[in-house]
Amino acid sequence: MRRYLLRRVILFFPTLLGLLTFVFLLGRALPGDPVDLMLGENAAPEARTSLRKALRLDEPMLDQYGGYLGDLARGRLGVSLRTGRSVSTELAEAFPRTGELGLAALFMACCAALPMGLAAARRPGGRVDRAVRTFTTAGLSLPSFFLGPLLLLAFAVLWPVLPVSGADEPGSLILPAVTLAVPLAAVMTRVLRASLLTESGKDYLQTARMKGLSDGRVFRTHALPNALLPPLTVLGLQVGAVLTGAILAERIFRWPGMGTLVVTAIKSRDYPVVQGAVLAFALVALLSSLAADLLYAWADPRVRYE
Amino acid sequence: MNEAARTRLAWGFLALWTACALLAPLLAPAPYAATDLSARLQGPSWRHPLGTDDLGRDVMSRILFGGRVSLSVTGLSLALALVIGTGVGLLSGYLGGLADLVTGRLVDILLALPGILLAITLVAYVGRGFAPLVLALSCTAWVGYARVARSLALSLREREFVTASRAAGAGTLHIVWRHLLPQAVPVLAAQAAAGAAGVLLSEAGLSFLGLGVQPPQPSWGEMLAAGCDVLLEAPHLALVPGALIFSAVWALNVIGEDLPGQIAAE
Repeated sequence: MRRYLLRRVILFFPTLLGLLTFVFLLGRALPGDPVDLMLGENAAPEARTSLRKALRLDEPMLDQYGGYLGDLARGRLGVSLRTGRSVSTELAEAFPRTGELGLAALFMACCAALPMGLAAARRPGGRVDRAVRTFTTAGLSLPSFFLGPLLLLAFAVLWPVLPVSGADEPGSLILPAVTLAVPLAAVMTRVLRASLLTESGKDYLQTARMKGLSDGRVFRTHALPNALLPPLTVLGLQVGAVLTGAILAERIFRWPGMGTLVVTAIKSRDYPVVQGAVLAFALVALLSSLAADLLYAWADPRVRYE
Repeated sequence: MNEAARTRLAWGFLALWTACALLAPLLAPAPYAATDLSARLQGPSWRHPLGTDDLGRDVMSRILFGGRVSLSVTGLSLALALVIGTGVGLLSGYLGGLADLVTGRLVDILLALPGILLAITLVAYVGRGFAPLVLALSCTAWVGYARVARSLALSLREREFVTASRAAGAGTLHIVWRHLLPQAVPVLAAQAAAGAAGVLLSEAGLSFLGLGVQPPQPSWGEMLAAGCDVLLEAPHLALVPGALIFSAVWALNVIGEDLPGQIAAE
């Protein structure tokens, strides 16, 4: 167990370093002068020189790389060219907003996927199963940027009980979170159903049935705990998808989180913010897939000994 | 709806949107960029079958030309990703050693970036436009094909026909091209069919965020985003492109589920 954990945790660091290097190179390897891109070609020479200094572009490449890693290690991400505030302040403001949205979506998706997966796996091919399958296929094909406007329209015109824009009212979270939760619920329902079906053919369930337990009891107390692992792993891997989905959902519902931050930054060529936001997104995705792997190893002893 | 009808409907959608995209210049009632501020946000009429947008441009024409952009970007990106992924994957799997190690790490790093984030990042640095969009989407998608191609090459390179060919003096490129590639094509084609919906979705997502082709060139994602800004006054501006994206993604999903089985059966 300890060796598996150690290996998995150690593997995290080269991947992280690779990502940091990738983002570093991306900002420098492309044609054209980054200062021209950020300030425009007609900027005052003094402004250009000072920006060049601030971004360390006047130093040799290796020094730039060392300085970049050193700054990251100290949590210095640079200064936003658009607002003049530090990138870490911008991220600290936007990140909790997106985190809140993502967590709400994960919670909603779990609450929906659990009963749907259970109901569908009880009678494969039955009416309930077919209905659930229709939901999962639609949920997977319906892009968040179409589901969002549909919800917005429904709740703005047909049934105006929820706020549809911004983040200032108490219910503002609900619609963007539902938008993110639907595809996630579809994926998790599918995985849970498949995993329950694999589990239901196993001998220990026959034994439980022979003891005289009801079908529902056998499913909930014997099959479910063992069938939960695959959906949990998928959940860990889907955190990244939820975050990127949030970029789209935030645009629709004018939610002031990471998505709004990164899109505004890209459009105003605010590269320090783009870089900081990309790193933050990637770090969360890396950490959650690490967490999913560790969780899997903890819950299923067979994984650790392979 | 039964399976066969579903598949037929999916192929029908795909054929219809492809035909519309190919024939856009013939079918479009107006130039897609012609603005008419006196005819803003109109509903459907004989002159404008799907109404006009907030700049008075004909929505029908924009939908047709937008489909052209969305489908051609998807097709090109998928083809490019397939070529790069297959090449890199087969070579690194066959050669092994340092080449395999380096590409393996690169693939891991790129896979660590979730979904369309890599594409968003690339567009952020490279800029907007048709070519950057194709580049960003194929850079995101090739990784999956490389993984599969690599594992195929790993298992194939130990087979007798490869050893025999090597013993007969064939070079690496000859073996990869003549022996590994034909074996890999059906598997990778099935994977590409399953991945097409994802590429279309990413294209639409990037365009939705305003990171797609340059305006005034339309694409479905960009039209949907523009429609969202006037959702309450003219809902059809968002609903029409949204429904088209949905139908195309659904069709590709259905075909992608179906095709791998058929290819495997042959």
